Amino acid sequence: MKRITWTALLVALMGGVGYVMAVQALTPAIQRLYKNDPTVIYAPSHFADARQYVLICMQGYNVPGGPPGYPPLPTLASSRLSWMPVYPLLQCALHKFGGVSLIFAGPVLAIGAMLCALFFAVLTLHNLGVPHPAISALAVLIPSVGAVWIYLPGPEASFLAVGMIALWLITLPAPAHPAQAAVRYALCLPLGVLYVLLKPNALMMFFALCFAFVYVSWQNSRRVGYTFGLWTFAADLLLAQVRPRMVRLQSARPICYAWTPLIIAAGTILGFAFWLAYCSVLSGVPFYFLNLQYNYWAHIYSAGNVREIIQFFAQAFQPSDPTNGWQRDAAWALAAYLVALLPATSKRVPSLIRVMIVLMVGTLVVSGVARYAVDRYLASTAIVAIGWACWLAPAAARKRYAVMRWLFALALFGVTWVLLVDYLMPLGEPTFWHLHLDSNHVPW
Amino acid sequence: MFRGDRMTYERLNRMVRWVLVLTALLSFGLFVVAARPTVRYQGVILGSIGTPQPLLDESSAPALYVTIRQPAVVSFPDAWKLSDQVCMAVHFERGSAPPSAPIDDYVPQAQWDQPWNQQYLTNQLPSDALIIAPTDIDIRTDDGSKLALAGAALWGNVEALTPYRVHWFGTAPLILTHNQVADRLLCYYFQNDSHQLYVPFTHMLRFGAQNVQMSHMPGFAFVYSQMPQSPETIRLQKMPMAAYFELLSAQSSPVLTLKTSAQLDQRATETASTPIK
Repeated sequence: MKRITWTALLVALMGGVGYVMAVQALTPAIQRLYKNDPTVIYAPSHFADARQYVLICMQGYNVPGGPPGYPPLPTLASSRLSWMPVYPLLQCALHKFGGVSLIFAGPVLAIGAMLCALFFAVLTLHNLGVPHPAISALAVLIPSVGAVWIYLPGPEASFLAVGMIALWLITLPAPAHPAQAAVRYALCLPLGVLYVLLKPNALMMFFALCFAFVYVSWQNSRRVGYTFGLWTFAADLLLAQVRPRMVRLQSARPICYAWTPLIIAAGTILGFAFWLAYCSVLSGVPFYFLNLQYNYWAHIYSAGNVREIIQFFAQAFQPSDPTNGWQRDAAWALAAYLVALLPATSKRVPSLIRVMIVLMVGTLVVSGVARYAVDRYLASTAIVAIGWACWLAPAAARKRYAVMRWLFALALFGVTWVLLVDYLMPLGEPTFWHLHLDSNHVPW
Repeated sequence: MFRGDRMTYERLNRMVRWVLVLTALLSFGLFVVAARPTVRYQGVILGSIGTPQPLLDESSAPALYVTIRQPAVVSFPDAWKLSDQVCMAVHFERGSAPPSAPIDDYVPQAQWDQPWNQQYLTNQLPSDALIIAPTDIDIRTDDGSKLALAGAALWGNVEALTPYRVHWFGTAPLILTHNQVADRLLCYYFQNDSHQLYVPFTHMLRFGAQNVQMSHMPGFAFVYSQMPQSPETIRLQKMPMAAYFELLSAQSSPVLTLKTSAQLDQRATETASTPIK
């Protein structure tokens, strides 16, 4: 086994221990939210969406009916079909075959997923040529806004792990033999399907993955003699598909394809199409899954038009009004976006990662999934984690600055952790999180 | 499909392109399926009288059959001071669809590792039964008047002053397990916002049930004092109560039985001593 693999294993184990300690530290704060509810034994697996995944494992998916005579449109009613199937399936498997209680199946899965994410983060950073990948990979554990979400039982940690595997595959050097490439490509389609069936947010990676296909292919082609720039390569790539002979004749422009990102992107589309069809057939409602998101969860998904998005974020700058929840949400979401975009501004971060971050964040904003829970979406995205890891990595000449960057990241992590756990979550939205809150608690 | 020593990058690229094209086509096909799903219609299917009408669950299996017979607008003796009511004999029969527990969002964590069926019992729900309660009957009218099921006033008068014992719908929720049937006499009237009691010219009666996720439910369209507009519409005729009960009795309807002589004598004695107000 290569030395970097052993290093990755060691980092995963050490980081895993740190992760478990952080979970332990977080648990009492979540448990406090349920102090009036004796039926909740271990609050983290009951909190927010975590309970829904367990209930899917126990009860299956439901398609809501309605009172006799007056059935509401299923699009307007809650259905667990909003939650993707892979994570509850994993919980069920762990419970049935591993004998783990469903109360703790989520945390066990999250710990396993974080070990996996750390392991592949080291390998990905190594592939990217980042110095000291073992230390930088620990940045995966400290996404700065909304970090708490990856410590809670939910699909976030698993989503991060699968995203990290995808990034590792994308950044792997081109194989020496086409048969090896074929084996790698064969893994990519199911990986893409798995990715989107963990969280539909994988779709936000579509354009980033398409860009990665062009960029990595360009890099590979340059190694075999391609001399032109990225835009020319993109044009050549397009021509090679529609007029293959035209490019083949030009021996000065050899194209070496890196299909991995494109196949993963295709897998995400295929997985999403499958889930959309499955939900629609089950409910009888065309595009049921999308209808659920845009009707029942309408407060999360906006139309995504620029005017609305600007209006939303502008609320963050209004004079402080403690009764305005939207204002708080806007400030928090804006901070999450800015923190995610920070690595994209640095030259220390490889161009591939920088552009992928911008494309992913841009897709998130334009699609309308920009208003709520965006901290979770960003915290669990491997591309953001790797971006931060690259940004924190020490440059050869200025190692002192790396320490300062780490201190900055840890300070952000600490402040937002306290804000989220001690202020936002208890204040929260009780109807959304289904908490029994103390009505006298006025934290602002 | 391929052997490593024969594989070239050119061949591999061609294969990948095909895989991508097939994936795109498959995705497109799935989007088409999503756009035009096999319709899971949720709502009412117009039923006809005299034949079992199924109430289907979400997998289109029959959970319950409802058969109505002898619908009529029944008028009661003036001394009872009751408005005219729509009455019909209803036959309920359990279908083959398994019951489905209502989705419980707050299962205590101590029960998370129990099999779902056991939780179902723990929650005090009948494990294999459908429930039809008065609240599962629903009526729509054109004028927005509200449904009221026949109550104790009618039941008491019929019990005390007629020679029939009637199995009423609404006295208690019906619980039907497999192969069980139930026959009930359903009577209802209408009340508008001004508290007037009357029978509207048109209304639709719909049956539902608990412990099943319904996709289809039978609905019966009635007209009164006007001609039906379609073959499925059922025209109601007005009948005095005595004639209505005689008709049901003549047809051996299980919703009522003739009292025995001893029962009749006992009721006559009771009625003579305590007149009904």
